[in-house]
Amino acid sequence: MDLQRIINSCIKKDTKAQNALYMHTSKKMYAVCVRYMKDHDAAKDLLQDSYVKIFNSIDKYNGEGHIEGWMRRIVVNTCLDQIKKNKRNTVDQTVLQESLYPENEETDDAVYSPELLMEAILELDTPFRLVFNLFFIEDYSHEEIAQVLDIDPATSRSRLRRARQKLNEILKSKTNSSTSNSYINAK
Amino acid sequence: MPNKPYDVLKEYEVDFDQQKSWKSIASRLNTSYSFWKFSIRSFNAYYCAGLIFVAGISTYFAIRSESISEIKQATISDEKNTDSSLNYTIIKNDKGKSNEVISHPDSRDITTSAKDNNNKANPENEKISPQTNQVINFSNLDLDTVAERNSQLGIPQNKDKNNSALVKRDSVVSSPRKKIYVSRKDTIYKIDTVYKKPVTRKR
Repeated sequence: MDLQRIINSCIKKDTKAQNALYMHTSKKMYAVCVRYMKDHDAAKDLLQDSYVKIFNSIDKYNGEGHIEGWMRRIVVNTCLDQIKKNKRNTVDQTVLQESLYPENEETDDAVYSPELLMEAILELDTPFRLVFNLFFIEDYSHEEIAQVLDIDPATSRSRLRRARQKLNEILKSKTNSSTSNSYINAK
Repeated sequence: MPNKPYDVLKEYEVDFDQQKSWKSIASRLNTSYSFWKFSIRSFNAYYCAGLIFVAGISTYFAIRSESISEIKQATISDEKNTDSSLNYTIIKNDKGKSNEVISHPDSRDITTSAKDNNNKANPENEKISPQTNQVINFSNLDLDTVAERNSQLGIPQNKDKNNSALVKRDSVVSSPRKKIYVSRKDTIYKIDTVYKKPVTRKR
């Protein structure tokens, strides 16, 4: 079925069309949830919440941009809301964690596989992972990130810088271990 | 572009049990839809019930006001009328206690009234002038007698659903049921509230 027809049917609350849209997009949206939530069960819960929101408000989609972009925005916002809720219940460790990362501008822009990147991103601490995801994958500006996460734009910049440093370290260690493993296997 | 290496994540997909997740989403959606459907249905039921109630009430009052307006119309016409062909007299029979005759000023041909024959309404005592007004007091007669009498007078007889006699225009009949039918021209007015004040003329 054509995507536009699916959307039109979803507006009319057609269950088959909703299922079709879900099957077509849910793996990508689940990946978004996992990137933000780390925990798979929490990610699945958020995915469900997001899709309920999507189907209840799909009539507000005005056709501007791709439907997946619109859906991704809803999924991201749902994840951020959940993280904010969780943050209220836990001690904010951001300041302490920020000081653990050294000021180092050295970055590595080598191309990695998405699986490896995903693993590395999930190893980042939540505040850095959020900024990293929003900036590099959701294409938010630092001002938008500051607004969404309720932080200063300067803090967003510094978190992003440190997230990249940490990510490079993780990726290097992962690639080194994989090459040494392949070397051992070859031997 | 520094963020190029991470663009691959935009299209990245993670496998999971889609069917299981879909079931819970569908159940949540159905619950919310069914709630609204139920709300809309119950709203419709209340709305329809309210509508029927209002329609019933308005019909009742419409019928009432119609019958009252007919009486008023008859009274007003009676007061303003100068055409003798529209004159009529109502003979009122109040449970056989007394017969009161309300006659139009122009109904001069009516010389006999129930005042003279109080509690003795008798068709034989009435003078009838077919050219002008026909006054028939059938208060003590049954419908068959009324029909017979009317046929003698040349008044075409009809019977409505209630088996009440309908009389020719300018004729007024007080039936045993105490329902008075006044017919004018082609219209037959049913006046069943004859005892109410608008009918009674004050001199």
